[in-house]
Amino acid sequence: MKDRRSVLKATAGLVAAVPFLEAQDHSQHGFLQIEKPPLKRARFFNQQEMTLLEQLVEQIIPRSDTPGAADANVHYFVDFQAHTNAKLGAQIKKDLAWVKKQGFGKGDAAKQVALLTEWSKANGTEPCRVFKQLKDLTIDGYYGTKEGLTQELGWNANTFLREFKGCTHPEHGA
Amino acid sequence: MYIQKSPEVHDVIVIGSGAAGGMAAWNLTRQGVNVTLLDAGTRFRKEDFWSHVKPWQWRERVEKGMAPPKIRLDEKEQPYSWKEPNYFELIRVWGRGGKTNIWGRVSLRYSDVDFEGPAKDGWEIPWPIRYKDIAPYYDKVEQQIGVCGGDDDQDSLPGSKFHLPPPALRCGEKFLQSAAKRQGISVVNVRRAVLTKPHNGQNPCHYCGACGRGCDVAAFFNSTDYLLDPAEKTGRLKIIDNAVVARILLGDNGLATGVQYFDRYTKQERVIKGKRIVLGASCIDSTRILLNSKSAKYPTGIGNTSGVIGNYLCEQVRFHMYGFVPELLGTKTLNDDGIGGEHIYMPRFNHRDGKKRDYLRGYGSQFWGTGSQPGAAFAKQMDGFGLSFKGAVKKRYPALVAMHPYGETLPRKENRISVEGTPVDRYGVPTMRIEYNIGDNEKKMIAEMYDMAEGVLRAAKAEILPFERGWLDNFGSAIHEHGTCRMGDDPKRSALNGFNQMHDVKNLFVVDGSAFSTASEKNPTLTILALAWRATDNLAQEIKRGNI
Repeated sequence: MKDRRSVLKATAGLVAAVPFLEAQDHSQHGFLQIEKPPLKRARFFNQQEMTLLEQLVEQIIPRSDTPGAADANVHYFVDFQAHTNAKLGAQIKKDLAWVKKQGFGKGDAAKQVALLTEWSKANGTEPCRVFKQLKDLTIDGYYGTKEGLTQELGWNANTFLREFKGCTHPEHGA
Repeated sequence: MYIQKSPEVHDVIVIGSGAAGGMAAWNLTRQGVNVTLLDAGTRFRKEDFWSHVKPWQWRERVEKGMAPPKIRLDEKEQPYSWKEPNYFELIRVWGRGGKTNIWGRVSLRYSDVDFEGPAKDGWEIPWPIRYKDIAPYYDKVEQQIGVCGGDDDQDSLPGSKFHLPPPALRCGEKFLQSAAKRQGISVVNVRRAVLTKPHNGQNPCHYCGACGRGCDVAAFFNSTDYLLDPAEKTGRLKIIDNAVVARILLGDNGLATGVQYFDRYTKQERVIKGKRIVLGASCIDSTRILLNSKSAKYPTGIGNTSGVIGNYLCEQVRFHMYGFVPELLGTKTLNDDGIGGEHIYMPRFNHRDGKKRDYLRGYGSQFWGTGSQPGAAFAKQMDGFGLSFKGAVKKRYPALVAMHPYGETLPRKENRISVEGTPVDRYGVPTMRIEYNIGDNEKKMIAEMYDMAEGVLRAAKAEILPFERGWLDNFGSAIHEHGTCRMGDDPKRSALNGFNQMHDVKNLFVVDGSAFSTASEKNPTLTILALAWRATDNLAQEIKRGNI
């Protein structure tokens, strides 16, 4: 059986290596210069559909002082979900065709925001369903990426700790 | 088809390798009894667990065609059905250690509030045991496996004397504990089989929070590392892998004589003989095996003279409610992993607050999912999109608190497992059909559970995420099935005696959740371990006396 010390020792190198790599990555860009992850390959949607998806996810969770959904390749996440779920894929393909017909892809940012606002508020309608499905997929996708989870939300867990300190705020003392 | 029959007559055959079967094998072998254990799968390799794979790395692996170890049994491999419209979610693990590989680890002793409940309110049969009968076994189990927790005993949650140190509370948990207190409800340290310090040679928790993927250092109790490996070291345990048990065989003398099983992959039928059989394949699978073990003497399943086997299925009702604590909005995100799951627990209190209820039994609450999580699914319930939405999610992320009340369901005859007229599985054996529903008693209790959860969150001044009052998680989702081969003093209304021994078939013992007379609102594994230890102590003694 491995004892705790040997486990910690074995993983210490991994833990130490991560900040170094991150420092290298982040030294390349600042607030406006977001380094995109390596290009991915779409498996389900065609190029036009991928472009539309990229615009949609970026409007739902845009770039701020942290990467947006497009920076985090969330459109490829949606593509992979469609690739592995034929029913979902067919539905989204149909939905994207409808979104295209509404002029979303050719509209400027203001037009795109206006359309999404309209759909999001049309409770119980088909446009609202389309919006909600794309929004949910964007949320699942973005907040599971390194960009969304660590850079945006500050998550730094699933790691090795010697001690769990919990809440150390006296003002939360209950 | 040629059936492989082993001429050897085994001293004891144990069916199942999870909490129940593992405890039986461990306790018997250490007392000098030879055991042959039939496991429906094989050993899971800890080095294969994806315990330390970050969410984005998980995706990358999946996109490359990799997959985490398949711990849960695929329903396609072993189908079951349910009576529409009530879907019953059935989670099974076929393989060494069973569900203890990925269990929730919440380890709560039943109290006499639970054991005496049926005798007091008159609903169905009373338990044949009381807390004093099982307390020494709870003591032993907790010392053996290691359970962390506080010293905050209550009449509904006794027995804290052997606890390892409790984990520190998260910020949100402190606010919930305080809010509950203002509502007159006590919230205590959770009691879980997680090692917060080294224990019996096992590694302590390193707080990675990924327990549900399997622990790569065995820092929480699992049957393989804590029971079966030590049992194998005695030289008295033989494990047969990939043995999918179909039936227990009955001899002319009215005793069980052996087990028919199929190799999981070759489908080869095999029969082994045994002098005594201990069944611990989990409530649902054990019931399937018993009901399929038909004979002229027991046409509805072995040992089913009473007709109770398969009936009185109990599984708790539960729902989930989420909110955001104002004091934590926009604060720095912390590593809230801890020992995985919640660090607090709300024991049952409705029997002592002086209020009159129009329902029987009670409920408690768990709090997993409080604090920062590896995702932000809560955002799906928030309106809007764009920069303001992104900011609103970030602000709420560290402030998330969660409540998951669990309520007891009454045992009812019509909630049942059956194998009559069902399709057969890949081995030609009838599959299970599950009929399950709740009644007015549960509906009234659920209404109060909603009031309680909302009351606590409001007392915390939390912004509560939208919820639909009365909504319940899937039946079966608690993975706490009980009652389908229940113990009792009356052989006409129960299948087992107080030592998990069949009334009808004296050399057959059933030691998993199916043996419970009631379900309680508590997680059952600690009680399964204690009952299995007690039952096999009795069996070992009876073997020594030459009685079985």
